[in-house]
Amino acid sequence: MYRLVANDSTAHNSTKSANINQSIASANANNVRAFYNNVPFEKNKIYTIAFWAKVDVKDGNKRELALAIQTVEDIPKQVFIKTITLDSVDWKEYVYVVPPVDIEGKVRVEFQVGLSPVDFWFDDFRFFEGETLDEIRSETFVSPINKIPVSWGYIKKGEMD
Amino acid sequence: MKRAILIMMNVLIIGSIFAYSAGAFMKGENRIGNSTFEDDRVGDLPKQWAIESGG
Repeated sequence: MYRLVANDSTAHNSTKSANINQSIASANANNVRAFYNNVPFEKNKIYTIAFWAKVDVKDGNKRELALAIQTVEDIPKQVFIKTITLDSVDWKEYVYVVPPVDIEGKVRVEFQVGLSPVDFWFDDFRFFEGETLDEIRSETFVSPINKIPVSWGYIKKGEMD
Repeated sequence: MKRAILIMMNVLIIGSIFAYSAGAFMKGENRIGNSTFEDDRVGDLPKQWAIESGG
């Protein structure tokens, strides 16, 4: 019914991305969760969730899902939840600020994907303390594998023109 | 006196190393260890990620 797999048919800025697909919608969004576990979370601090995503180019339909943070406990506490819509067949960045809350410990950051039939890719998923301007960019955001041949192609093209 | 300063410096350095290795993150640093999926095998569940159903 649903899968989360690494994929190399498309990627935002490298060679691979993750693909979530689901053929039959569930009754509730939280019926299906794709998540990253055990992320340290301190209370009363602002956090940001940012990622790149694209929906299936074949049908171009929008995908409604929920982005959530919950504590990793027997009875989890909800830290953050937001219903979002992925609406682009091209890679698009989605950024959400998590307001400060009086909760701390290990959390899981998750997509709740049961709201609608889901078929989308995501890549460069980040969760960090602070707002967009505070982000420390990783080296992997500039992939030399793709950049060097493209740049060399432009140089050669310029020479030929 | 010199010895006391050296001991204090060592304590600070070792303490910093332990604090870093305990998983402390800087402001703005990504806390998602596998965010670009470059080391994952195509068709497999990405490392450190999971999918589950319930309810």
